[in-house]
Parts: sequence; C-alpha cells; structure tokens
Amino acid sequence: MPPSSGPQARPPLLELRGVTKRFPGVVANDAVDLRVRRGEVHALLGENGAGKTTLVHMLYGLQAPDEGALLMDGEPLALRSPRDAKAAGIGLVAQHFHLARRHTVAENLALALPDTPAWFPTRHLARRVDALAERYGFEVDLRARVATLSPGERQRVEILKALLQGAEALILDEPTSVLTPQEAHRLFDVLGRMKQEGRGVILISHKLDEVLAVADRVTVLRGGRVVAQVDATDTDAADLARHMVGREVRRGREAAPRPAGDVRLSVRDLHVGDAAGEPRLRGVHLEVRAGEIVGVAGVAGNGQAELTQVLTGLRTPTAGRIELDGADVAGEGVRDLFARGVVHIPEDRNDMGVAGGMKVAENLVLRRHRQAPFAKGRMVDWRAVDAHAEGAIRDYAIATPSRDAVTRNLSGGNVQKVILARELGGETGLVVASHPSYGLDVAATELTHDLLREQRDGGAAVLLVSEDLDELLDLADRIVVLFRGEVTGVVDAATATREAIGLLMAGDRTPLGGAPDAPSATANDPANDPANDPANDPAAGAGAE
Amino acid sequence: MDVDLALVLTTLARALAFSTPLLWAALGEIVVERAGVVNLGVEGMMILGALAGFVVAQSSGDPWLGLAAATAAGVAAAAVHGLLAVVLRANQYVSGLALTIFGLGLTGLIGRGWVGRPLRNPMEFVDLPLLASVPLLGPAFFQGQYVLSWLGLLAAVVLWFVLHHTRLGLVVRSVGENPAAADAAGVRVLWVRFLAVTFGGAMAGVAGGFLSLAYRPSWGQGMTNGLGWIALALAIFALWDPLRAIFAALLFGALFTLSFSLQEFFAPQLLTMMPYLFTILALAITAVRKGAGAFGAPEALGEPYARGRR
Repeated sequence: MPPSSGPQARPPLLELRGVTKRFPGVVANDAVDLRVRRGEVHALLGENGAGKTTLVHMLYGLQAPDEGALLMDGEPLALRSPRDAKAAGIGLVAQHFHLARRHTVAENLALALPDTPAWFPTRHLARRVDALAERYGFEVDLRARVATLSPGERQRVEILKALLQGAEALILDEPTSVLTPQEAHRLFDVLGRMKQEGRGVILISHKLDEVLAVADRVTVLRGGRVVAQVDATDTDAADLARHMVGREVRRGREAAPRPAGDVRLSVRDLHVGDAAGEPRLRGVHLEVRAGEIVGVAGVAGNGQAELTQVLTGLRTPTAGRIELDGADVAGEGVRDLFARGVVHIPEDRNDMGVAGGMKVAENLVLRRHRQAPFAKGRMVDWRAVDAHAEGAIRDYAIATPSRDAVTRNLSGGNVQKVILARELGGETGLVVASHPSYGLDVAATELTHDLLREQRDGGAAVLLVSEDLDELLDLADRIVVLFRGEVTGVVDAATATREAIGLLMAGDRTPLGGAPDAPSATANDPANDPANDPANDPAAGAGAE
Repeated sequence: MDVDLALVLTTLARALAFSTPLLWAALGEIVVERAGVVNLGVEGMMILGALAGFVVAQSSGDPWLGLAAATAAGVAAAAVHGLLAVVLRANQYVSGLALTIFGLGLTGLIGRGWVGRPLRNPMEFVDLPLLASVPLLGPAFFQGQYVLSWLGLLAAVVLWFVLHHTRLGLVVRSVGENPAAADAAGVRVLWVRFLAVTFGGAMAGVAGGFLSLAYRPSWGQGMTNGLGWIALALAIFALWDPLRAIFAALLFGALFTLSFSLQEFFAPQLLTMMPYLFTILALAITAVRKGAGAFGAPEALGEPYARGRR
C-alpha cells in the first residue's frame, strides 16, 4: 500500500493493525490500520466522535485496545500507561496542556522526565534544554512560571518535554487551535526539523488547509473506521471533507444578498477593566449594521470575552458608549438588553448557555419564561412550554430522548442547538455569538453557520467572535482584530489574507500600513483619515467609520 | 524591665510548647493539601491519636511506645479518609467532617474508663545541650521544652526542603496542582495522594499524642478542644508553606498563652475567644492576599481526580 518512496524492508515507525476499542454502546475504533513512517508528518483527520481521541489514548497507553496490535519499528508494543509509551519513544502534546501552571518551566520538565535526580530535581536541566532549544530554534525561560506564558510558549514547553524524553514519534492533538497563524508556522518549522531527524509526527486536526500544508500522508477517520489513507499531494480540501463527513460539504463564502442597512450597534471608546482593575478593553470602536456579520478575531484572552460580556450586559464598562438602534445602552443589564433584542450564544455553552441539570424543554424557554405565551400571570404555562419544545426539537433536529431529558446528557452539538433555538427563535436585533462552532462536528457547524446567515439576511446585526480564522473568513463581512484589548485593525473579509489578520492578531499593524508600534490611531480614532494604504482602503475605511 | 523580659521569655517558652500540636497537625495538613486533598478530619485524627497514645503509654509505661501508637492511630484514621475521598472520590469535605465526628465519638466511648487518671510516665521537659545556654533564645526556646517541640521545628524545615528541592516533593506538589499532568508524567496520582493523606494522619496522630503524653499527660474526653480546626486554618494562613507554618503556629501559641496570663486584666471569655477570632481574621487576610494573585491554594485542591475527566 505505501508508495515505494522508502525501502520496503524497513518497518514503519509506528503501526496499528486492526485495532478495535469498544465502549458501552459505541465502537470507538473499528479495526483501524495506521502506519506512520519515520520522517513523515502523518495527519489524522476526522470529526468529533470519529475516534481520533480514543486512538491517541491507545497510542499513549491511556487506554488498552480490545483487539489488534500496536507495533513500533516492527516490534509488538504493549502499553499499559503513559510511562510505557514514553519509554518506548512516543510523545504526546495534548490539546489541553499537561502543565502545572504554578510550577516553573523547569519544574514541569523535571516532573515529566524519567531520569530526574531525587535531590534538586531541576539541576542539570538547563544544559540539556539549551542544546535542544538551539537545535529547534526555541527560546525557553526555565525559571518562568507557566501561568505567565502565552499558549504558544506553553506548547513549546510541551514539545520540549517530549523531545527531552526522547520521543521518536510525537503526537500533536489539535496543536494550532491556540496559536496565531505565525505561531503555527513556527510550529510547522519545528515539525519539519523533526522530520529531518527521522522522527515521525502524528498530527490530529480537523483543519483541512493546515493538514494539506504540513502533512505528508493523511488518514481520515469516520465513525471509528479508516475511510481514507492518502498522500497529501494526491488530495484536496474538498476530497478530504467529503471523506470526513461522508458527503459533499459546502465551503467558502456566501455573500450577503443585499448591502448592509443602518447601523444597529455602535461602540465608541469602550473601556473595560477586570476585577483587579487591569484594563481588558482599551478604547474599542466598532459598529455593526443591520444585515451584516462582523467578525472579531484575536488570540484567546485579548479582550474578546470582555467585549461579548459588555455587549450582553454581563459586565459594566468603565467608560465609553454603546448605542443600540440609537439608544445609549451602556451599563444596562442582561434582561434590559434582551428586551432590546440582544441575544447571546455564549462561549461556554455548558456553563453559561444552559442549566445542565434542567430539562431540554425548560432550557428552551429560559430567557423567555416571563413572556407570553410561556407566562400566565406569575405562573408558567407548562403546556405552552412543552408545545414550544416539541416544535424546537423538530425544527432544529435536536437529538434528545425527549423534551424532558436532562440537558447535560446531550452531546455538545445538541446542547448548542438548544441554545440556538432559544436565542434565535424570537425577535433579534443584535446577535452576539462567541465561538459558536467550537468543538462541533461538521454538520452542527453547518447548521450554526446557516442560522447565523439567516439572522443576517433577516436584518439582524451579528457579532461573531471566533478563534477559527476560516470561520470568520467564510461568514463575516468585516473582521475586527483585537490585541491586548485594542482594535489593531478592521479588514474586509472578502479580500483579507490570513497572514494579514495573523499579523494584526499579534499586534503588528503593518498590514494596514502603520508602523508596528504606532499608536492605535488607524483603527481606533474615528477622526483619522482611513486611507493610510490605498490597497486596504475599503477595509481600513470600514474600521474607521 | 527585667520582669518584662522574663515575662516575654516565659510567654515565648510556653508559646512553643503550646504551638507544638498545632505545628505538627498543620504540617501534616499542608502536605495533604499540597497533594490536592482537603482533610477536615484533623481534629478526629488528633483525638484518636491522643487516646491511643495514652492507653498504650499507660499500659506499657513507655511514652514513646505511646507516641508510636498515636501515630498509627492517626494513620489508620487517615487511611479511611484516603480510601473514601481519594480512591472512591467521595466528597472530601463530608468524609473529613465524618472522620472528626467519628473520632470524637469513638474516643468518648472507649476512653470512659481512662478519664481522670494521670499518665504514670509522661514525657519530660529537657534542655537542649549547647543551644540552651544561648542568651535570650536559650531560655525562650531551648530550656525546659519537650523533645517533640524541637522535632516539630525540625520537621518543618525538612518538609520545606523535601517539598521544594526533591523529586518526591515535586511529585506531591504536582498532583495537587495538576493531577492530569502528573498522571501524564507517569505519576500514580491516587497512590501519591493516598500516601500524603496517611502522612497527614501520622502528623495529626503525633499532635494528639503530644497532648495526652506530654502537654497534659492524662486522658480527657474531647481534650483536643478544637486544636485540629485551628491547625487547618494555620495550613491556609501559612500559605501551604512549612516554614511559614512555624511562625504561624508560634503566633497562635503566643496568643493562647497570653489569653491565660492576662486573665486578671480581661474577661477570660474574651481572651479564649481571641485565637478563634484571629483564625477568622487570618483566613480573611489570606483570602484577600490570594485575590492579589501572588499566592494561592494548590490549583486542584479539593478536586477528586479521575483519569479522562477535566
């Protein structure tokens, strides 16, 4: 099966043969075959629930396969724990980093290494780290506490950890989800370096473009089975998406049918501080018109959460104006804003979106239980609630055993459908959607995107906060980029490049023609002449009103 | 002036003796909580240790044998908490509270026949050679003290060193900060946590044994009198640091001592209230400082660990 690029005599670095893993009620992996050669980046592609995680857990000794064999360099391998996996030369950079935040980098490394001395465990580390860091072009401060590091830096600590342990095969689970495009490129350089050294990389991802850019071979999983194993050069995004989903998938932009209308949301010079008084938003200007989707891009933690909280009434701004359909609403609470048509698809759907212990039917009316037809005086009309629930479950295809099922037990996609049905089911003026497709499978993502477009076409103003640039580029009309609580730029989604947005996400305003460390005038000062760079005129102009 | 100095020195000397059970129990709890487990059963483990220590010392005539029994009793009681709260992932707070209530009840029942009989061979005051003759420090801390008081100070230093400068300490702290990371590093999280809990039990057992074998060589129902709870507060007040625990325990010891020696000036109820009032104050101060972000509880404190959950 493998093309004759390498000597056939040499067994693959890592091989799975007919591996099956069952959980009560599900076959997570069904007779999976996988061969990872030395010197290749092997992408493992699949939707949520396709069995990627289980496969990784088996490769890393966290779970034992029910059937099948695992081989390394042709030798059978029995992994009973991560310790075994590491001893065999398998490293894992998990999606959620396995780092103690209050430990220093050195302490985290010492914890993971098998040959850490019993006394003064972090001594001798510096020498070993320096050698590696130089080879891979890292910069690591061993004495820094992990809590002070950026996501990209934390990831480098994880990779360093695996390399120090002598990982021959490195598994990376969704490694770019926390990175700017530039940081992602640095990561790919490191992976390239590992390839040169004859190691193998397993890249778990659902980002097709990224897989095509770095992987040599791609294995696609669907429903626990391998549905395709191809060379990256022999395939394209549409092909991979079809394998992943099992049918054709629409991709790309669908422009709004008509130009945007009046300004519905206008935010001027908005300042927000956190509990400790640290500024989280610093003089943000933005506006969203009726029939328009405005995207908000940025690396997590640059003020997106605070922005959505202020706009939905969960947080009070320290200064600035928020106008909704011409009325100043800054400082109004959640209920007042909801009455004005502000709906919220929150970032953390299980904590903020639903009351997990309550029934689906109850969650479907949570915000509207005081309005007709659900309220009857001070009482709730349960018949109306149940009837509404039946309708919503049908219309949104919510997979639930019944309207009385406990919401917590639904899958992530179905919890999101409950939220979408509730928030978008009534009158809407401003839709604030935060990472609406995060962790959803392709079908649920499509539905979410369709509903947001529907809102746009219906004349609502949609503010879409996302870390997924593809989502923003596909959906949004304009993209506002936040960096450290300031708008570093506003670009037209139809013409913007990922690279330009990536630079803005890192605080570099050169894509808009400004000096890298120039004050935020370009994007933030409404009086500023937008035409710094003629090429970006429409984009910058939109940002500066 | 001389009188005042003498008063200060005797207050310090008594403070050290009084702080000893607090220090031992607090050190144990610090290790337990650094490993990510809360054990509210300190009071219960102490009282079990006090009774076991007294009974064995009274029967055998050897207070050190009694201390071994007190330690074992603390370990046994802690093992129950470890089994429930760590292995079976029961609610840590309920399990610890149950341990305290159980310990107080059981010792009340078993100890009935021993009440009011003085221990025939208690631990004695001793002078520490060399250090006893140092001016000021000698009379304050090194003359006429119990061996366990000094061992407590030594234990604090050793524990600080172990926690911060050994692989063992790194492992213990890691299971308390991020058990998933420790698990991924090949640490057996539940086992480490269980052992930490039993270590805390041993320390609480010693603290209880100190009460019935040295400080008040007798058995009395409920003789721990809330010290276990103060030790719990001390662990927090000391920001989970063994060296700070020395000063925290001495401070509380001094407060207690003063509440006795100043009885003629203030209502005794007011003074006995002071240490507890101070505990509340200490917790509030700690909470405020934690808000500032510089210090804080171990991140996974109180969270049971099960692989695969986040």
